[in-house]
Amino acid sequence: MKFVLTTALIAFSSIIYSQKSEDLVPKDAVSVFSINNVNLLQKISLDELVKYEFMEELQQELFDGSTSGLTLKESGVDFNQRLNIFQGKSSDFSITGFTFGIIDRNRFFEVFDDYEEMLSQYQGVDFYKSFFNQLAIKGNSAILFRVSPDQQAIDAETDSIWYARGNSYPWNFEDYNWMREESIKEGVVDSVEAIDFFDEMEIEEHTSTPIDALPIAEEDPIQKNYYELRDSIENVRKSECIKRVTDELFIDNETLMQVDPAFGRQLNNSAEGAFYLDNSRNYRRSADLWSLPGLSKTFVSEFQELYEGNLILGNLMIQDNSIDLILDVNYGEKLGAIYTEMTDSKLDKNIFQYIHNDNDAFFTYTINLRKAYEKTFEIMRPILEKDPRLGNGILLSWELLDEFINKDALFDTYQGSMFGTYNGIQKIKTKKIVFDYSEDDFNYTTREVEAEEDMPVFALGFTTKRGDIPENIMTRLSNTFPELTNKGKYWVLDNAVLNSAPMYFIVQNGLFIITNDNRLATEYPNGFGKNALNKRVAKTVRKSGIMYGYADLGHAIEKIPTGIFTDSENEMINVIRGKSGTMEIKSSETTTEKTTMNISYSFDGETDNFGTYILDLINSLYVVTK
Amino acid sequence: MRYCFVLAILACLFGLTGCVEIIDDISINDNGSGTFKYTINLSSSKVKINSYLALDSLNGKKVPSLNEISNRIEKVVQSLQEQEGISNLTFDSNYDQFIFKLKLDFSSVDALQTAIQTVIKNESNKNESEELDGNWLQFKDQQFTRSIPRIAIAKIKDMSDSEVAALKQGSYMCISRFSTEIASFDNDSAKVSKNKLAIMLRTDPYSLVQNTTLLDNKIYLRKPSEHK
Repeated sequence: MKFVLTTALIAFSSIIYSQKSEDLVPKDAVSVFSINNVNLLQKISLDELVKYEFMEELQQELFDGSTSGLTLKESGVDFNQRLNIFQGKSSDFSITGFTFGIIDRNRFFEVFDDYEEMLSQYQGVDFYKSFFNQLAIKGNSAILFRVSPDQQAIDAETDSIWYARGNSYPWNFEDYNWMREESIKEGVVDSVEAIDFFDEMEIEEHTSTPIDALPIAEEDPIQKNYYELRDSIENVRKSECIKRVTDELFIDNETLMQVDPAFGRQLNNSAEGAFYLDNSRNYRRSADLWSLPGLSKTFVSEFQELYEGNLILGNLMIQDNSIDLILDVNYGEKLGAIYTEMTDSKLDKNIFQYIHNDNDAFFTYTINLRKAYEKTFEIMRPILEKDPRLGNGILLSWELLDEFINKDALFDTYQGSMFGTYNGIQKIKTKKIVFDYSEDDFNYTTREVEAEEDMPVFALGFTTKRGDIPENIMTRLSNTFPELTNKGKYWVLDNAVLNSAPMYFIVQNGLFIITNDNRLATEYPNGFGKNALNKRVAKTVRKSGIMYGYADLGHAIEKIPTGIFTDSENEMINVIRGKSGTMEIKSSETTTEKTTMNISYSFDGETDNFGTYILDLINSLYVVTK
Repeated sequence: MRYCFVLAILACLFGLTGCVEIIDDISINDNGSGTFKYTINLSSSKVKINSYLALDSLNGKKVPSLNEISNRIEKVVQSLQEQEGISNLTFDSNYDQFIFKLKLDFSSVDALQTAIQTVIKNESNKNESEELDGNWLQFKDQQFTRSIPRIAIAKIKDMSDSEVAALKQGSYMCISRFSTEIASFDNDSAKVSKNKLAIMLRTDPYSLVQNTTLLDNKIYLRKPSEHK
């Protein structure tokens, strides 16, 4: 009996006290996405996994020939433990990585074969290292991470040592001056570098051919020495950062789970995934912001206090044909007071008249800008008064503006409610030049003809009580710019979009709308009428607090031309390209403690590959929060 | 002429065009001198071009600003103007419609060819280029021979499907004019004008870069004694 009890106690203890992957998340992690039901990812191939932005940046070099054609299941990963993807920043370094369970070490190192074992300084912890990453395994849990010391601090330290030793300035400014002079001569004052756009347009991070920017000793020994010194310092600082992280994890037991109970609570439920973002630490560690000259410690401390408790916590749940992400945006008392006032607003129902029922995507947003302003002033005034040296000047300017500006006119012109729609790709009318040939001698003449080109059609509108103000502005502008003309119920500005298509301005029904939708301006300046958003959806939108968003992914995303967006915007779009279904974002009523956002990702057809959809969401969050 | 063709192809490579119309027009006098006109018309793609120009980079490649493009073109034009045997060079650029017109006089087709080869080599920092070497233009004994340098073939392999599709929509017009009537020609796709003083070949840029012999032609002119 005693034996049985002892065995049971040991077994129970091992369950209670066994290392779990979430226990290895470092305390400096600011955002964590934790996947509880890792089984969902079993079918994901490693080739597919590495294509995601969050994997590509973190651990791309892990994935090579040895991982090709394999799935996560075949890589020795323990599917009974959570997979936690984290990124964070301390005052000295940034850190990215993930923690996970390992069930078969041999298999794991067969697949990820770039690691070599290191001497471990910690009892019960095995250490491995690749060119960029550190891997520590304790029991059946592992942390794979990468640290990057603060580059500005390394520059400063390198400079300090370099000049203290009597070295001369390491940079050759003659080249820079020559290029600058040439650019000015050629009228390219904005561009320092003479760009060979036919041969050398690859940018460094995308190039397949490394740019040979590193100095050669024979050419410039001073610069090479400087870089060598800098590399040495960076290596030392990096080792210190790694030691600090591992000491905290394996000696001091200072993990995120220990230092922030909110993280532990967030993981303590059965949701398939959990999201944690401590925004207050992001603000605290915005070194660039707090190092601005003139900011006193009192002011910085008071201002940072505003963001105390600004924690975004989310749960990801899988339903029959959808994945729901519920995000609680928590904040402290002062910020909560501002948000509560700000969201004391009802969406103007006239907006619905300008959203077509067959739209591909739309959003609405409503705040009470005046109340938000008044509350912000009320909260910021005592903060600024505590630092008279900085605060007096700001307060004086603010108070004078507050007295002299016609706030009624200002906040009636832009009240704070707005909407945007995306109505797909439409053919827009443009002009093109064609060449006509004479059959007699093949001489040619030119002729301007009408043409059509594809363009995504958007509308953006604001509620306004003072439509007379934008009308007055456009009347005055039209006297100077003949391209802007009044067409009665709308204004048109020729060649405003990409120097090719007109932009329309509609001031009707308490709304000021900017659109490139010819049909909306010319046929429906008073709204789409019976083709406007149906009442059922409109009711949902009105109930949805501060914001509502909807996108028919099958239509909207596929039709979006990549060419008109920047690379980072395309990254976000690409994660959901190729999927069908809809995405809906709703917000709850804002309280003094939190606002809840509900993102629902509904899809049609196959539901056996939830893992892909989850990874899509993780990637979206990663891109948004990085 | 061929250089400008290469420029147009490279412009496509960088995603600057959807539908391009190119007119490659050469007039040759009896003494071998002549006038060369090259026109690139991108007006039917100006929305797309403007949208690309608004970006910092596209597909990992930096998108040059209009200022950078015009500076670079001016530099090439200036370099062409300085070549021996080239005179009266004019270059018109219309950045509203994206139409570019080059016109120059040459003392002989050899001078024109050498000038183009020199400018390309200077611009690409290559002293030797197999693709550029050889004679693409020859005028001798009342016979005019044209061909395309192979440089375009190498570049098309790097193009995306959308860029290829865009090239297929374009047109490449090759016109040769003479002061003497055309007697015959080798390329069956060519068409002679009613006055028999000009001959035209038309294809799309994609077909041309796939098969650079499409516009090759040998044109035989009537000898003065054969004229009615």
